[in-house]
Formats: sequence, C-alpha cells, structure tokens
Amino acid sequence: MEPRQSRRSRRAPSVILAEFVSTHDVLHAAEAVHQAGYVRWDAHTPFPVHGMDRAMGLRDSRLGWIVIAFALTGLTGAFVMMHWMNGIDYPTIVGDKPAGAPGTLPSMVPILFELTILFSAFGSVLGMFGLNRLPRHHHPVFASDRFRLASDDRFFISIEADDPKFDVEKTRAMLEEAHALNVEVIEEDVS
Amino acid sequence: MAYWKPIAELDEAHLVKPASKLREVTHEIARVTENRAPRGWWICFLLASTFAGIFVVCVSYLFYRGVGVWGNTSPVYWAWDITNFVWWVGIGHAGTLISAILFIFRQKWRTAINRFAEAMTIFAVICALIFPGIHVGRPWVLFYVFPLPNQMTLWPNFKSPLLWDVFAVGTYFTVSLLFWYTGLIPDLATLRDRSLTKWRQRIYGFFALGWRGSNRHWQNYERAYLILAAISTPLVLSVHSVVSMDFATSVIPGWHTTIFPPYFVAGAIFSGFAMVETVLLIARSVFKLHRVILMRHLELMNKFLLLTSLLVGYAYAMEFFMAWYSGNQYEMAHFLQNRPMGPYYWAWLWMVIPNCVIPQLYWFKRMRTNIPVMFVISIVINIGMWFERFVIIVSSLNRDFLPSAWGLFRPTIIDVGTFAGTIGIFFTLFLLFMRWLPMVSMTEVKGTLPQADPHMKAADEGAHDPSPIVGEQQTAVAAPGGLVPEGAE
Amino acid sequence: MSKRAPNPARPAAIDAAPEFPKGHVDTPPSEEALLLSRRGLLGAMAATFAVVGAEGCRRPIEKIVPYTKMPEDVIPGVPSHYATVMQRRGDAIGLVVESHEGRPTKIEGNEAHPSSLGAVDLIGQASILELYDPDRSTTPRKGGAPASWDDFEHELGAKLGTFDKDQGAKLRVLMPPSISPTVLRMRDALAQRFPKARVHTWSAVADSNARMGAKAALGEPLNTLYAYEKARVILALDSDFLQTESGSVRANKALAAGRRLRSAKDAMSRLYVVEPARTATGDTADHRLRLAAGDIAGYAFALAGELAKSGVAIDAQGSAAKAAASAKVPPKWLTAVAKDLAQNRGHAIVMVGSRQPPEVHALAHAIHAALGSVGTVVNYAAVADPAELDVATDLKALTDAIAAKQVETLVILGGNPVYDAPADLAFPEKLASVPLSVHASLSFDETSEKCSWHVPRAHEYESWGDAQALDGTVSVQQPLIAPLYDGRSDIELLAFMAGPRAPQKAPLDAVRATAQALILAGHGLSGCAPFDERGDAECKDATGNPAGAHEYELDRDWNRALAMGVVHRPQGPKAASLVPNGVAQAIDARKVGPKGSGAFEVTFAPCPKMVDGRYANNTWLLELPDGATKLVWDNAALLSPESAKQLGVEKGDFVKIAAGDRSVTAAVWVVPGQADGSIALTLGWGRKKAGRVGNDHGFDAYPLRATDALGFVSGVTVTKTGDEQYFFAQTQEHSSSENRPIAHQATLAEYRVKPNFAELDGPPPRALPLWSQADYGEAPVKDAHAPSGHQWGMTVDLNACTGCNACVIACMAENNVPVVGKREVWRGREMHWLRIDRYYADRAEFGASADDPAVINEPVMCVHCEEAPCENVCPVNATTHGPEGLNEMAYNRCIGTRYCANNCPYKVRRFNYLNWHNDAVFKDTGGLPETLQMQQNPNVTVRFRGVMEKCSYCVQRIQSSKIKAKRELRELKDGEIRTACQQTCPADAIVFGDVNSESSAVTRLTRLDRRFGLLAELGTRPRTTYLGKVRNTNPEMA
Repeated sequence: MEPRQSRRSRRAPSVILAEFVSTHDVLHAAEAVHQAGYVRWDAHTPFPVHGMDRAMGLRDSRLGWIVIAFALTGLTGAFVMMHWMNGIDYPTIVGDKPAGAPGTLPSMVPILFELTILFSAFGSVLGMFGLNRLPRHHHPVFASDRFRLASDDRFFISIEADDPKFDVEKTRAMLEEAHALNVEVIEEDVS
Repeated sequence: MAYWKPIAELDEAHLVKPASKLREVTHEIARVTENRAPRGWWICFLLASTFAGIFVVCVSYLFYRGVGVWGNTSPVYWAWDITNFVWWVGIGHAGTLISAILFIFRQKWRTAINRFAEAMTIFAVICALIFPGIHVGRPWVLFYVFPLPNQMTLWPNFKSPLLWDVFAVGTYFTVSLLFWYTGLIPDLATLRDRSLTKWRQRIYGFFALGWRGSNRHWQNYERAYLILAAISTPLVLSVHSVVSMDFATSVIPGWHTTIFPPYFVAGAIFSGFAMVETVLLIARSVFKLHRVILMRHLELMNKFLLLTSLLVGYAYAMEFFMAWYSGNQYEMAHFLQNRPMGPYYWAWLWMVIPNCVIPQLYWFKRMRTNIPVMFVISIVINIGMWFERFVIIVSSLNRDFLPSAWGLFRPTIIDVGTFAGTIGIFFTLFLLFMRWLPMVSMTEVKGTLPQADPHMKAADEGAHDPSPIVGEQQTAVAAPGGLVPEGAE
Repeated sequence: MSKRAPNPARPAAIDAAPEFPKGHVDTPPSEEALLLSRRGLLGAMAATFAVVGAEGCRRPIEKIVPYTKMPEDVIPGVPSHYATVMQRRGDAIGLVVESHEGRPTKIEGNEAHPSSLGAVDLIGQASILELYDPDRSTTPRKGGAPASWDDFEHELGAKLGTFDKDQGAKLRVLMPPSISPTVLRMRDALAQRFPKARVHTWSAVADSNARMGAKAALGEPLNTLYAYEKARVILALDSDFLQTESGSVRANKALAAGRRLRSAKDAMSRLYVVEPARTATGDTADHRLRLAAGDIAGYAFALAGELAKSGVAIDAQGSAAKAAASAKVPPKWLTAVAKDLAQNRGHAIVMVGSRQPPEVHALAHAIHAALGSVGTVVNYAAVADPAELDVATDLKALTDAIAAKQVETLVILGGNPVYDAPADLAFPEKLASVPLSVHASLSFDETSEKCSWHVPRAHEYESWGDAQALDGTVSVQQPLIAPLYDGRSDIELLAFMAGPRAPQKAPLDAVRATAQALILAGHGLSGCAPFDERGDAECKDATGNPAGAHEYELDRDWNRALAMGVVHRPQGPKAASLVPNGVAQAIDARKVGPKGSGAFEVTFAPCPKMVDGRYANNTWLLELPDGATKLVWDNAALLSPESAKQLGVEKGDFVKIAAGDRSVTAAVWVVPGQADGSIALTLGWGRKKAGRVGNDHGFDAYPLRATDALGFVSGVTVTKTGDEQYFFAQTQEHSSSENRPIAHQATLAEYRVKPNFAELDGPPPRALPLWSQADYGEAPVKDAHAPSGHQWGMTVDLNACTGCNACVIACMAENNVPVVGKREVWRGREMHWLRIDRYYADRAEFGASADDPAVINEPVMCVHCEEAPCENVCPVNATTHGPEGLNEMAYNRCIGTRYCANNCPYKVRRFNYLNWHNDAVFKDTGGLPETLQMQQNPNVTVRFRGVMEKCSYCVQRIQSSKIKAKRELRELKDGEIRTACQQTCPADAIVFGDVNSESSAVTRLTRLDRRFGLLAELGTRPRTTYLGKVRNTNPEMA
C-alpha cells in the first residue's frame, strides 16, 4: 500500500471496474471495450477464458523467444563448462579416455541435455513473471472488495484512468450496457 | 472507500452454501485448507512424523560413526541406500508424467489428480535426493560433486554417470518445483482472497505474487505452463534413463545392459502410478473427495498400471534372453543361475510376482474398480518395484567376476530405520501439503466446467446437485483441438 | 636402575655404508660410514626417548640427548636401515629393519644372510607388531603386584647366594632351545657357578625329533641343509618345510629356483608331499597324498623297501621291512615314487617333518646316503647347542624334580609353559609348588601369573644378542630402539645369575666378545689377549707366534659385521656319515605312540600365524586368512568331508575330542584335502592372557597334547556335542573358480605341447578402443614436472607362489592397512590391499578329486588397468591415472561413493566403512594404542573413515627411489624399486619394474609364454601380468 498522503491531497478515479457473472458476458463486454478502442484495460477471470485473447485483440505471447534464448545459453554453457574444466583447465587421465571434446562429446550428452532443460524451465517461469510484471502486490483493483471474487466465480473488466479514451461517465455507461452486474470506480490519492 | 453493498454479503463466499457451480468447486477444494483438520489427518500425521523422527535418529548415528552402520560391504558396496534412491526417484516420475504428458495430450481427467501427482513427485524426489547425500563416506565434502572452485583446483569428472545423475535429478527436482509452483499461483490467489485472517491473507498473498487473474497474464501464464509441460516430458524420460546409466555403463554382469534406460523408465512410471494411487485413495477417503476423484480416474490409472506392468515384464524376459543369447559365461552365470537360484532367489520372486503376475488382475473390470483391491495391489506393486531395484543392485554385485570375491549383503537395523524414515518424511510432507494447499487445481477444474465455456449461457444460480463436479465436463466439453478425451463415455 | 658401563660401540646402519658389496665381509667400511652409523643410534635413541619418555632409561644416561640438534644422518622422512637377526625356531633369519627417526617400522630380509637371502616370512614381517604390543609387561611384578628391578635383583641375588654352598642343586632354569652363542656362553658360566644346577629346555614347537634322528643315524645331532634348487625329486613326508619348519624362508627361495620356468624347454623339480592336513607345502606339491600322520612312518618304511627293489640298497633294510605298513597307501605311491627317486640318484631329497618320530628321520638319512644325495643336495651343519635334549624328556625331568621337591628356585626365561606344556605333566600345579619361581616374558601371561616373580623381558629388537643360523652362520642382534618397557634380555638375566662367573656383565660386551672370538677364529687367529676396552687384541697365530707386530683391528671387523648383519660364516658343510647299524637300531627301538580306542587321530601343528601361541595378541596375524581354510581370528578342528559325513557334523558344529582323560571341545571346519580319519588342530589358539585383543580366539589344542604325543595322537574318540554352531569368519567363501578363465594351470606335459596355454584357454584378443589412447609418455596432467618415460608394471608367477601369506603382512606393515576384526570380516569388510585367492581344481590330470582338490594360489592386488573402470565412474576425479601408468587414489578428494569399487572387476578396492583404526578391534580400549601408532609408516597416509583405498604399487617407494636417483644424477636401475610384497616374497613370485624398458626383468617376464592378463577380456589392459602355474606331474602316477 502506498504511504498515506496529506489530508489536503485530492482523490481522482484511477481505474473503473465492471463485474460480470458469466464468461459469456465478460467475453462480449471485452469485445465491446476492444471495439470502443480502449488500450489500457484488462479482463480478470478466475481461469483462462477461451477466446478472450481474440476478444481483447491481444498479440501472441513472446515468451517462446525468451525460452529459446535461455535454452541455448544452457546448452552452450554446459558444453563450455565441461570442456574447459576437464579438457583445458585440469585434464586428467581417466580410464585412458580423451580429456576434452570432441572425444568426450558422447559422455557430455546427458549433462548438455539436462542443463538445456533446466535453463529453459527458468526461462519460461522467470520470463512469464517478467512479461507479467509479477510479483506486484499492490494494484488499484485490489482496492475493491468485490474484486476478491475474481479468483472465485466472478469476471471483471478494468479500464484504467490514464487510457486516452477514458471518461468516467461514458466508460461506465458503456460497461453497464454490456450487462455488467455492477460497475465501480476506484479512486486513489494523487498529489 | 467501501462500495455501497455491505461487505458481509461477500462472506457468503465461504459461509453459506455455494451459489454457483464455480463457487462450489472453489468451496469444495478450498475448505480443506480452511476448516479444522479431520481426526484422520491427525492420526496419519502423527504416524508419519514419528517415522520421520526415526529417520533423524538413524541418520545422526550414521553421520556419527560412518556408513559402516549399514550392512553395505565388499563386494556389495551399494545396497539399500541406492535401492531406495532409485525407488524414490522412480516413484516421482508418475507425477511429472501425469501433469506434463497428459496435459500435452489434453487428457482433462488429469485435472483431478495432477496437483497431487506433482506434489508427490517433489516429495519423492526429496526422499530420493537424501540417499546420494547420506550414502557417501564423507558427506561433509559432498560439495566436491558440484563444479565449484576448491583448494585442489580439481573439477568433477564429467564422464562419471554419477555426475550425470547429480545434474539429471537436480534438474528434475528444480523443474518439478517450478512446474508445481506455477500451477499453484492462481489457486494461492484464490486462498488469499478467501482468507478471513490477516496472516493467512499475507502468507498466501505473498506466494500468490499479486496474481489478479488478468487475461494479459493468463496469456503468458498458459504459454509458460505449456512450455514447462513440453520440456518436462523429455526430462522425465531422461531422468531415469540417466539413473539407469549408473548401472548400464559399468562392467558388472547384471548392470552392463543396454535395455536399462527404457526398462527403468517403464518401471519408474509403473511404481509412480502405484504410489499416486495409494496416496490418492488415502486422501480421497480422509477428505471425502469422492466427487472430485472419481472411480473413472482410478480405473484409468489401473489400466495404465496394467500396461506398464507388461512393459516391465517384457524387460525382465528380454534380460534373460539376452544373457542366454550372448553366450557370455559371466552374463549367463548371473541371469540364469545367480538371480533365480542364487542366495537372493526370494528377492527375485518378490520382484517377478508383484510386478508381472499380480497386476494381471486388472484385465478384469471388477478388479479395476474395486477400491480395497486396488489399494492392496498398489502397495504390493511398490514393494515389488523396491525389490526390483534390490535385485538389480545387490544380487548383481554379490557375485561378479572373481568367485574369490563373492560375498553376501546382510542389512542392519539402521538400514531398515533409514528407509522407513524416508517413507515417514514423504507422508509427513504430503499430509502438510494436503492440509495447507489446494490438493486439486481449482483453476483447472473450473476451466473444464460447462460454465467455463463462453459460448453457452450459464445461469444456474444456486443450483446445487450432488453430481460429480469434474465428471460431467467429459461429456459436455469436447477437448480443444477436437480430440475427445480418452475414456469419455 | 642399575649402573652400566658405557657402550663403546653402537649398531651400524647397513645403508650408512652403501658401498658394501652384499655378502662380502672383507671390504673395509669407510670411516665416515661408521661415524654416521655411530650417530645413527644417537638420533634413534634420542627420538625414542622423546617418544617413550624417560621411563625406559637403562641405556647410559649421557647418551640420552634431546632432539634439539639433529644428527646429520637422520633426515626426517628418510629412514635408516639396521641389520639384525631374529630367531625362528631352530633357525636364525637375518633382517634389515627400517627405522624412521628412531622408530623401527618395517622388517625386511638381509640379502647377506643365508637363511634370509633378502626375504622374510610372515612371522618376521609381523614381529614388528610384537615389539609394539600395547600389552607388553612394563614392570617387574612380585605376586602380581608391581615391584622394582632392584627388589628383584636383591631377592633373587640373596637366594642365589644361599645356593653357592650346595652348588645350586636346587636351582633350575627353564628356557626355550637357544641358538645364541652368547646365551649358551652365559648358560655355561651359570653352570660354572652352580655345577649342580640344571638348565632345562622346553618349547612347544621344536626340532627334537630331527635332532634325535640325526644322532641315531649320524652319531651327533646335526642340522640338515637341503639344496632344493639342485634337486630333481623331492618327497616331503609330513613336512611343511615351506611354511612352519625351520629354515622355511631359504627353502622357499631354493625350491622356487629349482622350479622356475623361462620357457617350455626348461626343467623343473617334482615335489611329492604326503601329509595329513593341508599346508602351504602340500598346496604347492605336484602330487599330494593325504595320509594320517600315524600311517606316514609305515609308508616311509615301505618306501624304503620299494627303493631296495629298484636297486637302492638302504642301510637297515630289514628293520624297515619289518616296520613297513602301507595298507592305506595307493600302490603307485610306492612303486612310482620309489622309481622316480631311484632314477634321480644324487638329486633326490626325502624330507621328514618334525612331527614324525626320530626313526623316520634316521631312515631319511639312510635313504639320502643310499641315493648318493649327501654332498650334492643334502648337507650337514653343526647345531648351535649340541647339549640340547629332547624337549619333552627335558621338561619331564624338570617336573619330576619339582615333584620330588628338589627344586627351590625355578627361573623361566621366555616361553609360556603353563599354557603350552604337555597336559600329562600337570606343569601349572607343579609350578605352584616351587617356593621361588621367576618368569621373564614380554607380557604378563599365563605363566607369569603362576610364578612368584615376573620380570619384563626385552624384545629381540631392543636388546643385544646373537643367533646361529641352520648352516652355522652367526649374526649379531642389534637393538633398534631402547627398551620400551625397561625389559632385560636373557643374556643380562643369565649374566646376573652367573654373578662373578659371568665373563661380561653388559650384554653388548658379551655379544661383542663372542663375535670377536669368532672373527679371530675366522682369521685363523687364536689365543688372543682378553677383550679390552679399546676394542683391540694382541693375538698369536696358530703356531703361537705373535700375528705380526700389529694390533689386530677388531673394531673394524666388528663394525663391519654389525653393518652387514653377518659375523661369521662356517667354512663349508660338515662331513658326516652313517653310524653303522644306527638307523636299524633306531627303527627296531621305535616306540609306537599310545593308541586309544577311538577311530580318529588328531595332529598338532604349529599355527603358521600363532606359531605356539606367542603371537596371539598380534592383530595382523589374527586377521590373516589361513592358507587352507581362509578363516580369520580362529582356528578350528579340521575334518575331511568324508569324516564330517561319518560324524554327522558340518561347519561350525562342536565336537568333543578325547584322548584318554585328556579332551578338548572345538568347532569343526570341513576342508577338502584333509586326510580321512585325521583331525588337524593348530597350536597357539585359545589364549587366556594374551592381551587386549588376543584372548579367547579359536580353540586351545594343548590340553590334548602329552609328552608321548607331541606331534599327533591316534585313537582319539570324537563326539558331536550338539551345542549351537560356532560363528566363523572367512575372507573367501567360494573356493571353486566356476571354470572361469581366471587362474590358469597345466601339467608340464601340457605346457610343453601348448606353451601359451594360459592365453589360449583364456580370453580372446580384446577389441580396440574407439578413442585415441592417451599417451602416458608425455604427461597430459597440468603440472607434471618432468615428463617421465617410466611405465610401472608387475608380474606374479603362480608357479612360484606357495600362498605363504608373507606378502599380505608385508603390505599391511608398509601401507598402514587397518585391521577390522572378526565380525567386520564376516561382513566382508577386510581391508587387505593384497589378498591371496585360493581355488580348488579337481582335474584328473592333476591327480585331484572333489575331496582332494589341487590347489592354486593367486595373489590379487590392484592390477592398475590402463583402461581402469574405476576411474570412469568416480564423480570427483579422486581416482585417476598418473603419467607413469599408476592408478592413483587421492584420499583427500575421495567422498566415498564406492562406485569405483562396484565397478572394479577384481574387487581389490577397500572402503573405510568406519574409522577402522579406532572404531574396530580397539573400539572398547580407547582406540589404536600409541605404541602401534609408532609402527606406522610415515610415508603412507593413514586413511580416515569414508575413503576408498587400494594397492598403490607402493608408490611411496617408487617416489623415494626416483628422488634418490635424481639426487645422485643417475637413471633408476632395474630392480632398484621393490614393492613391499615383492621384497618379502620368499619365492620371488612377484616382480615389479618398468615395462617401458626393454631390458627390465619385468618386461622379459611379461613376454613369457605362460603370461595372461586377469580378466583382460574386459578390455581393462591390466598392468599386472600373471604367469600360469605348471604342475610337474609324474605320468606314472596317473
């Protein structure tokens, strides 16, 4: 939570939150908002709703590229580590076998593979957090009490105040039009 | 500032009867972590933690005196320690398999058990990792196996299968943990939002990372989950293959066998499924989850057990055939004499009968769907699989090339205590998990409900029928990608 | 603390005078060398006292200097070597003892000594542990209570004083047979003071029968020397001449020399052995007949007759014919053997074991004479003490005297008669009735307990002395360390008793006087002026004229003798001929031992490990696997499978063995090759007061022994007691080789046809590796300083190995190998780096059957595979190859996964499951005693719990030799580096060296046609090569 502002600080709407009872409603509401040309808005659902991405007009996730990068790092890292340690820095005679690559490549396979997997796993999880800007423990929508149902059985659409097309009345009207169970304006202190 | 609607009304969420099917799911699963624990839980927990205590005692004594307190000897330098390690790792496999592979194949019935299975993977791998840690002669320098700079400026030997193991099992554990945690995040958010006390909210909130169900998040989240599933699938197959290489790359008759990697993987999945079933049946009865974990799920698992049992049986047969076919006198002496007729013939029988013979009962539906039967069989299979590893490790080592060096392995009480102790640790962790975390993925279950489909109008406010929660989606929703889920009547 | 004259001379270090050509005493030592050697003991003593503390200061005070100024010849870490000698039964073995900063740590043989020739047996190797035995007596005791030497001297002195008037009629001394000229001189001095006193001799294991046989046949007791290397046929009648009989070390060397095969054309001697129980000798034999000890005499007489048939006229033919009894003997063993002996006149030997009665020994002398072997392969030498009587009779005389109240004072020097005296003499009871009895012994044992006084006896390695070998060679026994526990030697005690009549008081003076007399005699000088302090002598030559005008430099020869370890060598063998009719009389007068009603016979043999029980507290020996049974920490009543069936017993069952009123209860062990109806019990077990680890192991055989049945007793009754089975521990539980190609052997005929039988029977040529081979020549290791061309390798000749176990103990001593105790051995955790695999073969070609198998011994240590399976699997690079082809262990890197040991096809790796040194046999007695720590080799890491270890080819020896060569700016010489096992091997079965050099002995051996690589088919490319065993079987025996 942000530090309390002085009593004289005025309050202004930061986000407008609309609650829906069914995936059907929220999906259509999302389409409406998207067509209305809003950009800084989002849908909140207890589970991924099928077709919502299209409804919101989202581009495909870029996560895959991040993971590829991590995977390649893991692969090359593993090779460099093994070849440098056993082949260059401190070679030893082990079972009369060659010390470094290419001779040792066969014996490198398992670790090459495992480290590739390990790095891609971290890539996908950390990448996901990065793209989602998580963890983020405070967000205007949390100011709403009803929003707690967003992780249970209710569906929400939030439109942020700094969206170019944002206008409290118009936006609220549009959302109520889209069968919102109720619409809530969340204000926060601005200095 | 509060909304005009009284906040009290929100508490219906967990005070009155669930208002919607979705909420019913939330309630049904979340309540376990919110209500007081049933007596059954406490009984199990005390039992399990007692065994965990035994483990602590045994290992303390082990560290105090040395590995000699076990029965390991020459030529049987590895015995129960590595047997337990392989056994536990194997058990872990079913978890990843269920959550990853079945996810990729869009087997929606997995949603009932995948969280379980993943948790089981993690706890089993923890138990497994204990053994390589404590079985070494000088545990205090165990870090030599990691590529860390040290005063000897010496590096690990990357040609050693044991080192491959370190990386494989280490990776496996880390990835499973990430996979599991990623899956938990939305559910943690749910628990956060349902929490009545501040601390509950803070703790769950901390781990929920501020998840707010944003669809822009869901998009990346789903992709991440898919990728994790995709890389876990080859991983789970690789791990036991690498473990099997500890033996396959050696020169010892009975170890030096090219069939090991697939053979070990099959065995791992076999024992893993058996263990999942054991645990599932316990949880199901303790927490009354009959409406989440259905007979259909159990029957499917039994079919899977039958399949893997046949695979394992094939591997056994092939080992014998190759020993005879190779004409190598050491191989023949081992497989045709020492194993079935040597000093450990009884262990060999314990391996063959539970793993190959008993599961054949599952050809009959009456057996597949009989809870007591499947509970007993699931345990028998795990005993059998433990003996498989015992036979592979001990009865291969006890008689190798030079008859002068032949010897017997005789376990000590500490051996038994250590092993029993890890079982205690496993169940302790598991019971804590069932108590404090949603043991079925609420998000995924909801996602498979008819209400989740935006293309049908949902208006069943308050409607509450006792029909299974997860069951009907099988009929209602065709899986994305058009393929009908396996076993959907 | 008694006053002593200062010692003018010190022990001389043999390696302080490197320029001595070994085996020659005429080249003078460099003054510097002697100087060094003088200071040698200074440092030694100083260090010793630093370790032991001033408690043992009996050596002159002024010599005890603190170790502040280091004597220049004592470089810490560089050991010095001293020559000395130890008594082994009737023989003396010359030794070279390695000493680190004053701590003797390792025993080796002295190449200059005829009974050692550079080798030692397992007892010699283990004797260093006897010196450091933590349970040695530390103080005189009166009635068990600690007392002082002064008290003792006062009391005994006073008592002796009273004897002077009646010439000591009531004084008796009991001591083991001695081969020390000085001890005998002192004994005579005692006799001069007390003419009526008597000195009796007793030892549980003695050569009395042989002496009496020689006396009967040749007129005087003589030592018989056998030239096995020149013999073509050797028949051993119940004689374990390779292990337990006197002179076994030399016998091994010579026999191996006579059987060494360089090519299929070479000839080898043929060894027949007739014996009741399996021994190293029997296992080595080409033909072995298992025959009850009681029937062997009969066989010998029958054989004599058979020889006559084949034209060998033997004295006492008639008597022999009368005594012949060969019912139980396969006819071939008469006809074929007799023929073989007759065909090899002049090159045939008939050995008779000390267990057999004198007449058989006498007969052997007759046979040798008839075969013309005397002078060629059989020679005679004077014994050290012609006055020595048959020990049994002598001890009986003593006990009778005690019974007749004729003994007031009995002084027992060494030995342990209360434990090992024949049961029928009731020695303990009689001893109790002696008013004043004194026992001088290393530890406070069974006998000390029963005596009114006990005094600590100095160990051979801490006191001056001398000993005469079988062939008459005399050597000086040098103290290598000041007495640890204030003990005194027999010489001192006898000198004290002889009082004024003692020619010298200080043992050094006495020994030196003896030696110098011999030296002068050796130079044909006599009638010398008495020994004087300057170490010189005025001498006259034989004719009585002054020998030149010079003072003969005794000091020089004396010091040379010390350095070389040989004082005096006899001039050639002693001539002897048969006393007419002597053998016949001996045979006719033979006493047949008492025959009981029972169906069985029991044979008593000195245990190869415990001997007569004196080594019962020696952990190395306790844990040494017995050659025949592979049992450790125990002996057992050995039965043949047939007898076991007959008695309805199996391994571990208890039986009660009764001979008249004497009986013993022991657990049985079934041994194929044991004679049916004969039970073997080795002596020396079941001690009650041996020490902290030595008590109550195995079964005491002495209660069955009687004066008329020292060797064996026939007609005993054996009954199963039905007690719970005894718990035995074995190091090798499986004796069949399962027809695996691992220990190759063939008959000489087969070998001639198929010289490379070992490889043909063995593995196919291995496939080439897929990768480029590492070139060991240029060292790929980061910091290999000088690229080395050496490539170490070893060969083990199975044809020479007799399984005598000396190498095993040598390895333990050299490499600080821990002892783990019976229970851990039972688990399979013994730590021996070098083990001797023993396989049974029942091939008819070897004249073997399942119940009477042919035995092959195969020493197995790390073979240092070039493609070592252990290295591939070590996760932490703790075991890797060195540039010289050694498979090396980095103990401080090892984390103890034990994967390497699993993957070792030879199972030669050993794991420290516990902290063996402190957590095994010494667990309950506060860990490894300090004295035993003093034995440990400072050049070898003492391994801690949790690490893997194995044979290192004695890498510490390799390195020190390389350093030495480098400092002397020269190349290493072949044979300069010798591993501990190789150095001690009496049969020269083990050869180590550089397989890269064309000329080295090991390279030549690896090219012999008998070579094979153990399990080489696995592609391990072992650096140790084995040479197949060849059995010179007699076609006519088939």
